[in-house]
Amino acid sequence: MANVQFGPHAVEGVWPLPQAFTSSPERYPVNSQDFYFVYGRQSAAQQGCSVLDTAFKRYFSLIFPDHNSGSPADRLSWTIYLVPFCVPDNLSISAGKASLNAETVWGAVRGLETFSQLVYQDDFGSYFVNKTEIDDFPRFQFRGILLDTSRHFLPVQAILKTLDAMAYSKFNVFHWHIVDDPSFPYQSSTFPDLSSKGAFHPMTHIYTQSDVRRVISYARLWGIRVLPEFDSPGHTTSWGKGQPGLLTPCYKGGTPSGTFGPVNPALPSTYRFMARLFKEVSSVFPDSYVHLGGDEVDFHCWRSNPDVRVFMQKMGFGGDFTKLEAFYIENIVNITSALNKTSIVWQDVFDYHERVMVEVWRAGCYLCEVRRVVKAGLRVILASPWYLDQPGPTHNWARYYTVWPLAFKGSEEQKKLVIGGEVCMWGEYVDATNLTPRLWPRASAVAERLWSDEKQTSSVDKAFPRLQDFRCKLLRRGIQAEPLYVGHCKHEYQGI
Amino acid sequence: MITTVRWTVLLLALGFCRGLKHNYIDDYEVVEVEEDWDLVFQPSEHGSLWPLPQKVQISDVSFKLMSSSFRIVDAKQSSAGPSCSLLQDAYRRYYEYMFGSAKRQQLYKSRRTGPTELTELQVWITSPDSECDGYPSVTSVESYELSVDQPFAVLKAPTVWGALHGLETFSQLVYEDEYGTKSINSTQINDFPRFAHRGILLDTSRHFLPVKVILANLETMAMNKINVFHWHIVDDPSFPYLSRTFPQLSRQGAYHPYTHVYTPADVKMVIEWARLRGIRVIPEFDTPGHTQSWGKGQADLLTPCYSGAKPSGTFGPVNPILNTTYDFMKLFFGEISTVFPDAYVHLGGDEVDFTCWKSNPDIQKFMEQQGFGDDYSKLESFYIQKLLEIVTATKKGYMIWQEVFDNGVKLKSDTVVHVWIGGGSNDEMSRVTAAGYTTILSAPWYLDYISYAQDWQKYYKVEPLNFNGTEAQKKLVIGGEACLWGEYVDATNLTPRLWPRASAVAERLWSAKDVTDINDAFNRLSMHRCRIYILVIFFFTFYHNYVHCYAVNI
Repeated sequence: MANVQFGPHAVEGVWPLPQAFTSSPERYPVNSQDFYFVYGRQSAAQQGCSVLDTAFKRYFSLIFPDHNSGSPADRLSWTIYLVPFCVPDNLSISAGKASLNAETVWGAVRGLETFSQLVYQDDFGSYFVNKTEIDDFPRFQFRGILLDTSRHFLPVQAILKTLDAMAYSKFNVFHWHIVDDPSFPYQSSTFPDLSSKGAFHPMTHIYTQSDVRRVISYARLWGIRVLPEFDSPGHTTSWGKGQPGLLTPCYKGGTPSGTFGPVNPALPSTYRFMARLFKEVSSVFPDSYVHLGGDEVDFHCWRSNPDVRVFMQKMGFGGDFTKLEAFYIENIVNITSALNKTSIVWQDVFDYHERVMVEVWRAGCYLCEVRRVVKAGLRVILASPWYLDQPGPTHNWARYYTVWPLAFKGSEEQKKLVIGGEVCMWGEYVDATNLTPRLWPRASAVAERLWSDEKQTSSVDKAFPRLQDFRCKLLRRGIQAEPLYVGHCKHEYQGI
Repeated sequence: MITTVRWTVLLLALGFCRGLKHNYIDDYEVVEVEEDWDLVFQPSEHGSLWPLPQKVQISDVSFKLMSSSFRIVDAKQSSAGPSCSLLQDAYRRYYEYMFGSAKRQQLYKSRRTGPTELTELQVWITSPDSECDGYPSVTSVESYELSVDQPFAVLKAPTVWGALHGLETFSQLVYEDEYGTKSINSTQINDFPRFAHRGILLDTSRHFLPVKVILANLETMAMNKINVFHWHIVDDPSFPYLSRTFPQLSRQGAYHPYTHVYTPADVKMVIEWARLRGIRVIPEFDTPGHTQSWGKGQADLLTPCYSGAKPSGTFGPVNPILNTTYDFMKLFFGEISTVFPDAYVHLGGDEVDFTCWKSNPDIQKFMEQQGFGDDYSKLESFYIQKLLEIVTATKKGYMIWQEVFDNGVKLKSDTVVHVWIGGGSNDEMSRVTAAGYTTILSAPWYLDYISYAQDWQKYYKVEPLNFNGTEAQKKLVIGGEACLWGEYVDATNLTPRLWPRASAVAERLWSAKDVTDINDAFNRLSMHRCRIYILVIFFFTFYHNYVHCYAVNI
C-alpha cells in the first residue's frame, strides 16, 4: 500500500517507469503563460544548442496541448533549469521551480519527456505538477524499433511520426530495414539503378538522399540513432534488378534457369561493388554501427551453380556452404571495419565472427542463444520475443511485457554483454494504413522492459492502468495508439 | 500550416498504391508471392470492380473523360428530377471521387468533343416512384443496368437505391492512364444483389466511436455496396445514446456525459448520411443481459444480486419481475421507434447470465408463482415475450440473436433471427430456417477475431447457404453481417481492421454464388483496397467541407 499516495498523475503515471523517485501529493499549478525553459547558468549547453532548443519548443506544446499562443506574462513563475553536469540524470520539482540535471543533452531530452508526462490537467483544464524527485537512467543502452520499408514502402511522414512516438517511450534506436527482396527504395548516389530498377516505383516509392538526411536529423533531435540495415547475401532479390551480375544465377540441369539466388560470393566484382556501396552508406548514415543482415541464406541456388562449386573447391570448403557464407560475411565485415563501422548481424552468422554484435531473432529458446553468444564474448541485442508484426489479442502487450532478457545462467560480465533489445515490425502485412496502431502501445510495453528496473515493473496488473493512462497520453499527442481493452480516453482519436 | 500538412497527408496516401489504372501490372515484373497460398498478381479481366457485378461485359474500346466537360445528369425520362437531392448529392460526390475536389479543377474553355470522349452519364430512374425521399428497406429494389457507350453512358435503375450502386460501379470503371488521363472502357453491366441484407455491426459501447469515424465508414460501406449499418449502440460498458425521454441514461451511463455521447442531432445526421448512401441504420438495444450501463441512470431497472441473504451491491440483467421495468421499456422503445426510421430494431437477447437471477429471493418467489420451477430460460422467455409485445405495438419488426430462438421464445413469424454461434456451415441455420424464420448469418464473420496473414480469404470462402435444408429454407436466408466488436477496437484501429477484410464479406453477399476465384478476387481486392484508403484519407482531409455542405443541404 506504499503506493497509495500516487494517483495516476504522480510519478507512476510516467512511462517507462523511472528508476528512482519520490513524489508527494503536494501539487503546484503550472501556467502556460508563465512557463519557461531556461538553461542553467552552469550548463555546458546554452542557447543555440539545437537539440535542446528544439526539445523546448516541442515539449512546450506537448505539455500544454490547449495553449493558444497569447502574449507571455512578465513574471517568471516557472522555470526549468538545465544543468548538464551531474550523474545520474535527475529531475527535481518544487514550488515555482523544477530543475533537470543531465550529463548530456540526450539525458536532458529524456528528462523533458518525463517532466511532460508529470504535468496534468484537472477537470477545469488547469495544469498541475506534483512535488517530485527523480533519478533516472536506462537499464539497457540499446532500445530499438525495426521498421521494414521494403515489403511495403512507408512514406517519410509515417517514419517521422513513428520517431515522435519512439521518443515518448524513450526508445533510442531506429533500425531501418531499408531494403530487402521485394523492393530497394534507397536511392544510392553511387548506384542509382538500384532504386530506379529495384524500387516499387522509381519516383514515388524511394527515399532520396535528402529524405534520408531528413530522417536522420529529425531522429537526432529526439536523441534517436538511425541504424541502417543492408541485408546480404540473402534477401537481395531487388538488388539484382539494378546491378546485373551481383546475384548468383541459379541453374537447372546444365543451364541457367533465369532465376537468381543470393549475392554471388565467388566473384571479386561483388566485393568491389559492396565496398563502394558501404562506403556511401557509411558516409550517409553517421551512426558508428551498420547492420549487415546475414539471415536466412538459402543454399539451393549456390549449390546449383557450377562456378560457385568450382570456387568452393578452390577455397577448400568441400560441400559446406556455411563456410562459403562465412567467407562472404567475413569479407563484408572487413569492408565495414575499414570504414570504422561496427557490424551487427542476425544470429544466423554469428558463429564465424568475433568483431560483430549479434541480434538474436529466432523463436524457441532465445535465451539459450543469447547465452551462447555472450559466452563467446560477443555483444547481443534481443529481438525474438518482440515481433510486433504479429497482431493482438493473442500477441497482446502483456506477452511482450513479461519478457526477462537476463534470465539465463551467466556471470555479471556476460550479462553486461546484453546491450538491449529491439521491437521488429516486419512489413508483409503492414503499411502506413495500419503501422501506428499495430506498433503502439504494444511497443511501449517493450520500452518499459528495456528502460526500467525489472523488480519494480514485473507485475502486469500494476502496469495495466499505467499503460492505459499512457496510451491516452499518446492519443492526446496525436499518436494513433490502439486500445488495450474496453474503456475510454478523455480525448479520443479523431482521425487524421 | 494546417492546410499544407493536410495536403501532404493526402499526397502520401496517393503514394501508398501504384495507381488504379487497369493495366498497371505491365510496368512491373510479375511478382510471385512466395507463400503457401500461391496468389499471383495479374490484372483481372474485370479491372478493379468490387463486389463483382452479376453480369459484366467490358470491351477494349475506351473513351476519355475530361473533368472540364464530363457531367452526370438526370435522363429526360427519369422519374427523379433536380428536386431529388439524394441523387444530386451523389452526382457531385462521385464526380469528386473521379476527378478530385471541384476547387482543384481548372476550367478550360469549351472545346470540341473528340470521337473518343465520353461527356455524359445519364441517370434514368424507371419506376414512377423513385423513392428519392424515402428510406431504404429490406425490400428495396437495388438492381441497375449500366451501359457505357457513345454518345453517352446510361444508368437505368428502378429506384434511387439501384442508381447509387450503379454510380459506384461507374466510378470503379474509371481508370487513369500513364499520362493521368481518365478513361473508361465501353461496358455493359446488369447487376443486382444476391442477398438483400448486407450489414456491418459496429460497437460503440465498449469504445466510443466519434461520429466522424462512423460517417467515414458509412462512406466505405457504400463503396462495398453494404446496405445495413447495425449500430450496436449500447452495452455493459457504456450508454452513449442520449435519450430524450431518459437523459439520465447517458448522463450517468456514458463514459462522459458530453464528449462521449450521441446526441439526437448526431443520430439524425448518421441516419441521413446513411440514407443518402442507400444504407439502413438498424439500432440494437440489447436486453436483458449486456445492460450494466443502463443501471447507472435508471434505478431499479437491473436485478440486485444477493450474496447469501443480503444484496451484494452488484447488479445482474434487467429485472423481469417488476411492472416498472415494462413501463420503462414501453416509453424507451416508443422513443426508439420514432428516432430510427428503419422498420426493424435489433433487440439483442444474447448471453443472459442466470447467476444473479438465481441469487435473488424475490425472483425465486416469482419463479415459483409462475410455475417456472428452476428453469431460468423460462423467465428469460417471459421477459422477451413481454418486450416483443411492447415493440410490436410500436409497429416495428425485430431482429434477435439466436439464443432467443434457441430458448423457445414465441416469436412473430416475421422475426429475423441473427445466427452468431458456430462456423460457416452450421446446424443452427438449418434449425432456424426449418422453423420458418428469416435468418441472417454472422457466425463466420466476426472480424474482431484477427489472425496473421490474409484472413480475408477465410471470410471470402464462406458459402452462406451451405447447410442442410430445402430450397424454401434457403430462401429464408436474407443475408449476413460482418461484426466488429469493440473490446480491442476504437477509432485508432477500426478502419484498418475493417477494410479490406469486410470487403470479402461484401462480395460474398452481393455477387453470384459462383464468384469464387480467389486469385481473381485477390487482384481486384488489391486495387479496391487502394481506392478505399485514398477515399478514407480524402474524407478526413475534407471532412469539414463535407459536414459544412451537408449541414447546408438539410
